[in-house]
Amino acid sequence: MSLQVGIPLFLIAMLIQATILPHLRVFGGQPDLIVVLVLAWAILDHDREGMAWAFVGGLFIDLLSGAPFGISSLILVPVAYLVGLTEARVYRTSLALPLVLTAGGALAYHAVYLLLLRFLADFPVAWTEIPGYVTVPSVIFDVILIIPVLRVLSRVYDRLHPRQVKI
Amino acid sequence: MTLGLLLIAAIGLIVGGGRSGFLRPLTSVVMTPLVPVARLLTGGADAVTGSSQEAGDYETLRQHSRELERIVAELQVEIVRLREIEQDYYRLSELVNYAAAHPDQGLVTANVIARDASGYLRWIIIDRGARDGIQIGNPVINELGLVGRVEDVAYNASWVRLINDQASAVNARLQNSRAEGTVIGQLQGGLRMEYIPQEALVEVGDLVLTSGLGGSFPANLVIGQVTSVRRQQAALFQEAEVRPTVDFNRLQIVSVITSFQPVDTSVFDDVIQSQSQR
Repeated sequence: MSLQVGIPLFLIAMLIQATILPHLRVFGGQPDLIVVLVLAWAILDHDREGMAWAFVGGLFIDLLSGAPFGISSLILVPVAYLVGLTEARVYRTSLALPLVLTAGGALAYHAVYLLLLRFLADFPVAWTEIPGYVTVPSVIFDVILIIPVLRVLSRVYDRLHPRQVKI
Repeated sequence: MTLGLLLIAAIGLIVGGGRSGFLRPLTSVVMTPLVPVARLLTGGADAVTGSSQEAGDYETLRQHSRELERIVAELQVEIVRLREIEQDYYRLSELVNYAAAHPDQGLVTANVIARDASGYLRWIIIDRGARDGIQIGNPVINELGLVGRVEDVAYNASWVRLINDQASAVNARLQNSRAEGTVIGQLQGGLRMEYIPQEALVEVGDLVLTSGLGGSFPANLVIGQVTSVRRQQAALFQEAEVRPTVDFNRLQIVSVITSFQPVDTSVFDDVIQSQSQR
């Protein structure tokens, strides 16, 4: 993803995430638009670029958050790496795989995010209540959101990386 | 011959005065049932012929209707806009009243521009920062009461931790009993007052205010109202659920208290000094 596309995309996603999506909360959970974008790009592009955008996306998340600046990047980069281990072609043949990858990736992101909040920011995490109230609804939102996001981003990906045909 | 007779009869009717002449009683008898029927038929015909005229007006009416719908839509937008202005005016006037009542406090009014999107933290971001004199630790209020505390400041923006964030703790007291405690944010967005002494009388409906102790917040800012009390015999303290007066989901305009006179704690200085000397 080029900078001209990626930066505005994440900027818009950040603004939507911090202004509109908080009003759509179910319990305490809401869609993690930037996380979904990062995961979608990691699914599509398993090169280093996915991790680079995971880093940038994490910065955008933390910019309008009360969490210590940088923790989202810290989490998303390895998550994007793990997700990127799967081949992009697999997504195109299986719909279940991106759903599973998104659920796993988002769950890992939330779990590590809470751990880092607890130990870096001394945030009092109510481990018995938080998963059901915030984490699970958020992950469900993310799994639902990945389908349309993947469809849009796969078009962008195909434009940026046209398939080579041997003649 | 028949023709002749008929012609003579016709002439006789004419000469005889027709309907108003000698045949008047007869025409009256015949016309009595005919009038209502005729009226009905005439009315129907008028209706049919009239409708063709109205059909011509139908397009005009539709145009009028469309025009009126457009005007109504414009007025609805205008009403919404004016209501927003009215609410902003109310909020600002309340904040002006607060500022007038507390001349010792410096106030900076700001707009809420974003919210923390994580779901775990309850923070807002406002459009005023260091250039406006805002510093870390400044209390944030709105027209209804205490909102939170500035935790991070950029040149033109500030990050505010709301008092219903789980990591927020505010020294508070109950208005009626004067009992003190600490108001702590809850995961679901509510508030809980903890560390209330067992002997204190806590009742549902009691108003919870900032105590000012610790110097983080000015005293007597409204936090909320007690909705339930939990008291256990074995516990050292009692707890109360508090409904915040501020609707944290609808924050739009807030004021940052940039300067205030903290509660005077100089009476404890001697105690602290003597303890440190030991």
